[in-house]
Amino acid sequence: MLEELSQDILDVGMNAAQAGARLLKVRVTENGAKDTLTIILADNGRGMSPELRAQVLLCFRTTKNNHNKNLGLGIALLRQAAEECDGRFHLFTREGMGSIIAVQMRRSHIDRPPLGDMAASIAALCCTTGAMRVHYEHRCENKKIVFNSGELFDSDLDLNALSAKEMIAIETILNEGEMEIRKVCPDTIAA
Amino acid sequence: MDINDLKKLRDEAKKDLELRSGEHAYKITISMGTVGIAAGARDVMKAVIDELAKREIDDIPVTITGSLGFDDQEVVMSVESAEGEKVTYARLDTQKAREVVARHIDGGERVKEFIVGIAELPGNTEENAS
Repeated sequence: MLEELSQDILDVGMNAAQAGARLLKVRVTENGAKDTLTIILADNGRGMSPELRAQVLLCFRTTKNNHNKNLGLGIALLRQAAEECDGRFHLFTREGMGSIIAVQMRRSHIDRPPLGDMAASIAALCCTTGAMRVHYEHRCENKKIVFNSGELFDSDLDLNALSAKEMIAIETILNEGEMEIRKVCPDTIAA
Repeated sequence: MDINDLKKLRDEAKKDLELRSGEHAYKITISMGTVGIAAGARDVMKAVIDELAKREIDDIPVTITGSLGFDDQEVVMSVESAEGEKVTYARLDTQKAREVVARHIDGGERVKEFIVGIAELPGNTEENAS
């Protein structure tokens, strides 16, 4: 297990980049009344065949003997994290159409990892090799933040090449948003 | 700071990045697969960016990629020069990564202690074509 859910999001988001996605949508929704934390990752990469889909769901079975670099432990780890927290996991995918991964878990579950440094994960996903744009949304109660890396580029084809100054600026913007959210709902429930 | 400030910054930075054949002609790639992330690749990336910014080096693109194939030696980061030489560093932590930025990127000297591989790329075809 990874320490933070934001690391799982980075990990699974990297799969999208490697699947040639042009767009990755990440949506995190926290609902205090229903006590749920929902993470949805949707990409328009090349998707998975039914065989590949079955493989990626099998934890620790696939990486070493299979030289297909587009699959790894990431999805299995996120699934495990969700299921250990009274959660649910869904993977919808079709070859040539992209993939949607949706997990929901009990927000107050004692084993739920903190979301952690979302700003760093999203900022990192903004500079994958290639031209994948990231659309990020984080909602909690009545607060909502949205960040779209596509707004930074003139054309959809521009490769992600950001300067250090820009990356720090992206992280600052994201962090300011996350802090607003954390004012209304703290990351970890238990003290 | 908001997205409009960022766009302004982008316009300034674009000029720098387009003139990438200058003094700091490197490209940094950090391995960000599952193992890399677990080993702290995200923190290494933050350290690299911070160190670049501190040194006011703004013409070096930093990108992330999937596993580079050194899973037992994460965190892995490669520094590619405009001439096509690719130096791969391994077993990095934030401190070592800062050292690579200071000595290799800023100083132009390879950091021998952390190197796992050096490869000459077969010409920079894209740049030659233009």
